[in-house]
Amino acid sequence: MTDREIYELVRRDRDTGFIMLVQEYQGMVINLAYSYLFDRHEAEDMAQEVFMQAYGALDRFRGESRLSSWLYRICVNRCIDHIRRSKRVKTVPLELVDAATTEGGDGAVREAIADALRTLPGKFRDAVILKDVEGKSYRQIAAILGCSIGTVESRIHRGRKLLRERLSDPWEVDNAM
Amino acid sequence: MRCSSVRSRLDRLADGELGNRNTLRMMLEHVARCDDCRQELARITALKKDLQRSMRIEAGPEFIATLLGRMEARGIRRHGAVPEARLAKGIAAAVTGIAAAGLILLSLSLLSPGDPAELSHLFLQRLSSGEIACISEGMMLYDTVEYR
Repeated sequence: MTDREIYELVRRDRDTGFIMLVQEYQGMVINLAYSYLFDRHEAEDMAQEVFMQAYGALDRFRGESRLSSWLYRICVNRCIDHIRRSKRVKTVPLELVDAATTEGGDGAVREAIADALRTLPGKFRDAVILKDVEGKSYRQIAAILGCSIGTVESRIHRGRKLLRERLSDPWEVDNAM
Repeated sequence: MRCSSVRSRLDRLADGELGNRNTLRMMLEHVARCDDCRQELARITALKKDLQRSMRIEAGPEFIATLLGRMEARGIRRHGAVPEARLAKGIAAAVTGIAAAGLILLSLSLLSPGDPAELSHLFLQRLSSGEIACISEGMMLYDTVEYR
């Protein structure tokens, strides 16, 4: 469903429209939250809080911005606030996040990537996550982040460069190919 | 094309975001014959793959049900505000819409050969699998896809 269709549905039938909105954006919100919190359960909890906040504010949403952009801002603000309040930059030992709570991927690689992502400035991290994890196009990311496509390209480039600088052997070409 | 200008566009190539066909052709030519740029591209695609594999999680099957339950418990939303029949109807309409959009996109992809994003995606696939080693093979891929 497009943002416009969801928005129209929300105006006609708030609850059904809301569920469509959740269906459409739960993946993006959960993955964004996960890139800040690095814990599946916390990410799901956070995503639920984001949607609850969105539900309460649906009446005030006038469709001037994209739903994705609106949800992105709510999610990032809540994640940053959550981290600040709990004063946790890193408290979740990822090795404890077992196979039942994470999907796919090698644990050591995941931990290394998580550590590298933690040190990345938010604007770079968000662009990289939206591209490489969520698979959004540059145009979609620009709409979500509220910036130009050129800025998205630059943030992705710099974000990946920083990530690679903070990572090591696994990204050598011999292993990559 | 020089390495410096190729390097500045490698992320776009890896992301399938090179919209200009001439630029794409020049990039593919360069990458096919330049070891350094090809390795740089391989590093980017490897990082992308690891990010996708390591950092992507899916919502649990009960995500929406849990969300609605929490909203009701907090009094944010009244119980049964969305009857199941209406919800099912809404979901069915959404699925139908998505399927229709998919069919349209499929038709378009069959009618418009040589989409730059698809070309670079195919190129990357063959690059990763080691099928492309030299410029002539790279060009063959391009031409094959362009005129299929």
